[in-house]
Amino acid sequence: MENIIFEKKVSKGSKFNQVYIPKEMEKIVEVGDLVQIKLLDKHKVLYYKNQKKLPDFKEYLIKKVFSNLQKFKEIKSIFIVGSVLYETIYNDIDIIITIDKKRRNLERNIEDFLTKELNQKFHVLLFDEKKLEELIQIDPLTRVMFNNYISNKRIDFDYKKKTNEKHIMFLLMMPEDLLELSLPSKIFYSNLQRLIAIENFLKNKDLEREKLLNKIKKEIGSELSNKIKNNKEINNKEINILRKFIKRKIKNIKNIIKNGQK
Amino acid sequence: MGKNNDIEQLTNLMSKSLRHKIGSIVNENEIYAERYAKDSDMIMKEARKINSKKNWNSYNKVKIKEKLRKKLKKELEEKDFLDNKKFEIMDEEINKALKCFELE
Repeated sequence: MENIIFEKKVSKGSKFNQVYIPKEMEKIVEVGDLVQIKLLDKHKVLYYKNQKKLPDFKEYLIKKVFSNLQKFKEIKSIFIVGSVLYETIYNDIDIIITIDKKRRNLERNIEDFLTKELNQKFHVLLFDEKKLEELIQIDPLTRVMFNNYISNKRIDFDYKKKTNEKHIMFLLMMPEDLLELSLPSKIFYSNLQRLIAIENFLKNKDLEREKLLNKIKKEIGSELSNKIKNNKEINNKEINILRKFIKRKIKNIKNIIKNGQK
Repeated sequence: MGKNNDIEQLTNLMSKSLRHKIGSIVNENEIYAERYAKDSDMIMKEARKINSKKNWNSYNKVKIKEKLRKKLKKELEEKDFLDNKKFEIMDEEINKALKCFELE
């Protein structure tokens, strides 16, 4: 028999999904003929959560990440988070993956595999679903991260927050250190974000990244905010402004915890 | 005078970095360790800068170890929200850090 091949996409039917025979082949493949369907490529959908549409190149890259990761059977769902979603120039691609069972070196294996396949730097964090749920409940920074993402499945994390005082105190250690240590200015920037996120978390306020960054600008001024965002050197007067801000925020946060947060 | 000042700075940075690291390890939930190990690394990176500029003699190295131990113990005592296992792994982490900086 003549070797007849055509490629079509599966479309949605009212009762069953279907594949149409092309018009020009209706005399070749007729009603009653026996055919075989072979899956050539799995359709990849990107699920956007609170996220502006990405340029085609980034979408292509993320689809490639998702399809490459199909090789790892223990993966349940994949989330692309962080700077790749909002920066033109990004250092690496942050991926959070939920898994069934963690095995030794899996994170590293996935990072190396993706870097080899896609020639980009990746940072992978693995969690089982229960741990991730717990983290989203108690950790303000994880909640900021999961405020917007792109995933391979439609998933909404609607977990209620829980205040874990020990964890908040743990998070405050780094901003407290900045009151004494002179570290690169970008570390000040990320810790200002951290403090505003913790405060907003405790006050049940918005954790959208853009809003947190705007608040930093509002509090310390655009010029200083841009300087520390870009890790520029800052003078003693500017360090004092930042330390004053950090001190005030730490005091607010401790007060909220002490008085029982809302 | 200069060297003493550098020893102060170095041990300040190292003690705080190790406090973050130990805090991540002993915290009841290991998820913190993965996510917040970065805090420790960032501070240790600064300590490394100071260390790499200096040639320490054996007397300096002994002094660094003593100061680091004293400062780290104080740091850990102050953070009462960290599990008490912190003191059990303190010396091990000090030794690892000193070895990494070729100070032992």
